[in-house]
Amino acid sequence: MTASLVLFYIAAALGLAGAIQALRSREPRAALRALAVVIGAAVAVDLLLVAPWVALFAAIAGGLVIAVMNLASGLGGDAPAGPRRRRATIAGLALIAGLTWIFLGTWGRQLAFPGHDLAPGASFGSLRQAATALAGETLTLPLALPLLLFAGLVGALALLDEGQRSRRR
Amino acid sequence: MIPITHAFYLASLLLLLGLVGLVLRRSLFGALCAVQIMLCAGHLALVAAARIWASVDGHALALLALTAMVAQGVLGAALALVWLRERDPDEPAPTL
Repeated sequence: MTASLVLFYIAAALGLAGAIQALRSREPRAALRALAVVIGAAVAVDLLLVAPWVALFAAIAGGLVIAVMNLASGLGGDAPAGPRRRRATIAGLALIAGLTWIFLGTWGRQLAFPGHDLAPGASFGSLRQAATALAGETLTLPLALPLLLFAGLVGALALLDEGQRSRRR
Repeated sequence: MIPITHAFYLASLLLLLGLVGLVLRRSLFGALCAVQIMLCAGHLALVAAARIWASVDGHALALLALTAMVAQGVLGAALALVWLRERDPDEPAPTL
């Protein structure tokens, strides 16, 4: 077992534990701390998969999301503990147990493919390559355009709502 | 070097956990957390796919997924704040 595989297992265990804790926690700030662990684990896996710039962006995006959600969490009360919380925990643990069973049951027959070999000295995962792929017409037009249109639609609805309110006043 | 299969297992498990949370949690905050976990899982799967084919197109898609994660987080938190500000003060405290 290589060092990177050990690191991957540690990150995966932390990420899964964080996800279960984030979903079962009834205290918003505790849930946010668990969400930060999930994002940290994802950043570690990104680094192990040779995607340093995606990892950096994920860390920045995760920090931003947690900061904004932290603002909203300060205003809310605790959700009461109930059967739904217990069911969420049981369902999460059952999913993990099921996948572990599949993982162990198919241990010898798994296609543990490590990916195509990278050419020696290849700059796979560099910022330049990612920017070139992002700027390519195959990705930008069908993906970025709907996102921009959606953001514009939300902005237009917010402006319309604000206009109607000021007219009522 | 890690087997990509393991990364896909992790991504699918995180996605399923997020889906379970989205279905079972009634609070707005819990649903937001669940969607964040699902988007995190999605970007992990894209990065793993990029490594399989040694193509950075997956990285570009992962960057777009992360942008969507930020947009969803900011919009969700903003909606929660507006909802809390405008609710009737006599109403019982919401489960955020």
